[in-house]
Amino acid sequence: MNRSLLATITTLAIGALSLGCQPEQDSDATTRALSLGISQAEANPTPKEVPTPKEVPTPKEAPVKKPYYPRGTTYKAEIDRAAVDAFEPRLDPSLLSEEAIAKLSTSPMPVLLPANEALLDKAKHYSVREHGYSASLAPEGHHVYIAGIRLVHEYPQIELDEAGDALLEQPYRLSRTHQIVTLSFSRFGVGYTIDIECAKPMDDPRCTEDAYAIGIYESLALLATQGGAP
Amino acid sequence: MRTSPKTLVRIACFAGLMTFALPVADGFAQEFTYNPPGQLVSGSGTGREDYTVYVPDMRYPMEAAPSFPNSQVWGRGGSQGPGGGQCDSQNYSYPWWDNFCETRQWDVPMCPGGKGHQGQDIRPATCEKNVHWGVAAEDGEITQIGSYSVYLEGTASGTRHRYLHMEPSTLTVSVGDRVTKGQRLGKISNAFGGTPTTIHLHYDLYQNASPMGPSYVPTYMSLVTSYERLLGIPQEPCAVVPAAGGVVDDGGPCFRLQGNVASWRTEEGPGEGGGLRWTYAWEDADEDAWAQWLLDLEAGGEYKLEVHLVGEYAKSTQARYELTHNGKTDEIRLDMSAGAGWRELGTFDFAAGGDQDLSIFDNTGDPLADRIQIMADAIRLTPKQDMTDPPEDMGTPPVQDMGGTPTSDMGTPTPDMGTPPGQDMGQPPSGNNTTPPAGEDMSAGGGGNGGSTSTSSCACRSVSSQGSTPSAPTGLALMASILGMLWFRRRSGTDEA
Repeated sequence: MNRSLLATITTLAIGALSLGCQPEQDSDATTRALSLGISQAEANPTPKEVPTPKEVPTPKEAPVKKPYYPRGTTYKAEIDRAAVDAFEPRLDPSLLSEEAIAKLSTSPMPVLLPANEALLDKAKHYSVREHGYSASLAPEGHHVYIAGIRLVHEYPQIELDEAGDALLEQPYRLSRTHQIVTLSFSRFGVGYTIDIECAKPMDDPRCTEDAYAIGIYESLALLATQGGAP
Repeated sequence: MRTSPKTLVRIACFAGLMTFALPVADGFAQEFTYNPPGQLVSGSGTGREDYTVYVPDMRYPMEAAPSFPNSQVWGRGGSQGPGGGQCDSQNYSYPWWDNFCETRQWDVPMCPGGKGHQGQDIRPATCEKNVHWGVAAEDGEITQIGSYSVYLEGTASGTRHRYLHMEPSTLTVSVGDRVTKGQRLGKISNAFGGTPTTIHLHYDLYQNASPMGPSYVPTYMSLVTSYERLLGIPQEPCAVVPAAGGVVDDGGPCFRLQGNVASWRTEEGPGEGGGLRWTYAWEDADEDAWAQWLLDLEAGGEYKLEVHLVGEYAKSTQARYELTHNGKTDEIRLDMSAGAGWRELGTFDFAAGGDQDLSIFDNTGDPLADRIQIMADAIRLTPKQDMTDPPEDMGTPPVQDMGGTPTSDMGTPTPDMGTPPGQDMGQPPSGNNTTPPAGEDMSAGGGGNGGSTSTSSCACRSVSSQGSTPSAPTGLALMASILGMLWFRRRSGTDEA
């Protein structure tokens, strides 16, 4: 083959390759469009849209002033002291060690634990934190984790559909991840969770069925501490 | 052995091609892209389109990149997947796929239909167990270790980070240990109580989140942003104020209502950009409602800062602003009632880049009973050298209006619940070796809600810490190879002559 022709073909091939390998994008608009998953036309500057009106209280009403929110959207939930005072049953303190009681007494929120000697006997660790507490229990063949969270994350942008809203009307919600059962509920204005994890997750009815988690939920008793008291 | 000129030409051409091609391949291999939040693998349910970063400062929960969040169940090798094995390269490639809300039977209020997968499945860099480290996403305490789980309660955020499937024998932590962000916890594996799963980390976030109460919250965008930090990719600002100045409007992506947002009202019509926000001021020491304009500037320097006021809603004589600029924070008071239109707060020095903002607070000192209004609309920055024109003459300002256009919003758009709930909820992913959904081909990238978009066209980002664009160095290499080839051609022609 003629050398000039060969060189020309090779040069063209390289050029074509270089063009073919150029990555997408280039303009900011395209990059932003991709980043938003919208079309180039949509990404190009357009006249400003009128902001979507928000659902707000009647304009002439005075705003409801809530407790102080620190910067950002988190705040410590107000504890419903009347509900705490009225709650039954109370936990028999003899089910816990003095050390455990001393630690849990510093909880920033009311402490709920199962009134179940067999479970509490296998307590592995109690933790008290700025925003909550937890108990890690390790009875035979499974783990039980009970925790409370006082810190609230406020997400005004979150909208739930009808089914999601309906879940909030229930006394608790049950979910599973890889057979770890999570039972979530709110009480006294704060949040609680019970997790159950089994050593044989696919075969153990404590994890494959709901009854065990619900039983623990129903056995919860309040430890007489000043948890969350001002 | 003497190399012929023709061979030299061939070698030069080949070298040139490889010089060009290899970096390109490497660049593409490193390119991080992700599908939008809420876009699940086709047939795996309806996701939640949620751009909220629920844990803004968290550390990516795996020590090293790359890493590949995608579905274990609907991916290759999964029980509902399109066949193949879990180590298929498709599972170990970008783009990422969200799988929060993937079809499950369980209560998750934030998922369409109220049910779905509570977290995100993440594959490590390679399909090897007990090699790649899981690390603490934030400072906190290890409060629970089960047969295949590790619970980390974050100190600052009050968030529970849960890690599943790390190999128990590799764990470096015990219950009660305090850990710091980035600390190694254990190695990613397939531990699942004696019944191995695929090699992956199931990672989820649990918060006491209003309005749901204690709940699993979407992990995806927290993972995206933390992964970008891990890769060294600059975080995308909501928008950048150009060097020539600009307007940041309350209808745009850089405006945030904060605090007790229910106290803010929105008025359509009046105001810059067709709307404004207002609330009543009050006398409490602490703010209740406040609002924020986030500022990310293309160029540092001195700028005149103005706020846009509409008389009907601007009544406080002592409206309280705080300006964070160039590492400083100043409190500014403004008599809103003194005039409408663009009102100057002053001239301030700003740094190039972000971490700057103007905020307005409702705790002005005005008695709530007096119903004194404050308002938030647009703000305007004008560089000092452009201040020759008086503000009132800036009906057509020499600035770029940044409000309301969707071009650069990676922030928190209003969640879209997507397609109607209830789809795909009847069939939990139980059982093995189920026939994949007809027509589904993940390798082709078909996916998302209803398969409306393809992977290649909907990937969220085309950026890389390594610089995936081969333009400069490879362009030089290309030029060098062509010149080299021409030189050899010329030289060989001379030799032969």
